[in-house]
Amino acid sequence: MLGRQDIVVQTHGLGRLPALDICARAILLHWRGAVFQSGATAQVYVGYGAIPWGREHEIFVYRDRDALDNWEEFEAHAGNANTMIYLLAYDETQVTVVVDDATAREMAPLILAMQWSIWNMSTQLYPLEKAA
Amino acid sequence: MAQIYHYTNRSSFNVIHSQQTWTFLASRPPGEHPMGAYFTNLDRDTPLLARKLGIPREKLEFVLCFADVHDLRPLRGDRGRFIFYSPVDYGVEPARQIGAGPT
Repeated sequence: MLGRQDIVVQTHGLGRLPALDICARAILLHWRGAVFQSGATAQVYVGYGAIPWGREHEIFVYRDRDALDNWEEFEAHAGNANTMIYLLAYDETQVTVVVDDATAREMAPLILAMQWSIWNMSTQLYPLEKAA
Repeated sequence: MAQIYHYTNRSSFNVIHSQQTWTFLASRPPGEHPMGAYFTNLDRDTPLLARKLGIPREKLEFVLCFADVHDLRPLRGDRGRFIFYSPVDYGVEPARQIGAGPT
């Protein structure tokens, strides 16, 4: 009764909302036509700017509109593997990234991009906080 | 009293439901998760339930519901808020069984 793979990414002090936002933007670098969906309400957000970040703890990110339509019609099946990423952020210290196969050729760079982006942003903020 | 759900297909449902004490067998799920029998506290009206659990639609056709006695482990990560497991076969005696049938 359980599927997919859970990757827990530490936020390195950024907090859950900035980390969730950074993950979404990192995905957009690879999936330019990504479509977002609220995990709480299933509302589809057309465009990154439409996401109400303050309210969302869970976001589904689809590779494109076709991927969303496929998931809506069929749910999980072999044909739509690695076309959707499920992001959850309830804890200030971590974001959970749920994928079909983290080692898949199309998925591994996205996961690395999310981890790198969070790490990179946290190291930029750290000196500013220390100086304040 | 909190409720726990196990969603499954018809064949697995028939096997589990035919037993007086429901026995959920521990198995190795995909995705490097621990071996176990897996459950959730999300009811069938939860939006995008199959996607949250990461299972195909046919695995949501039937459900068994029982009372939580807080002896299950949360999955590592944020899905541990709603996915729980027993690392060994898990029995639910009739006194804890609440309901079972098609979703």
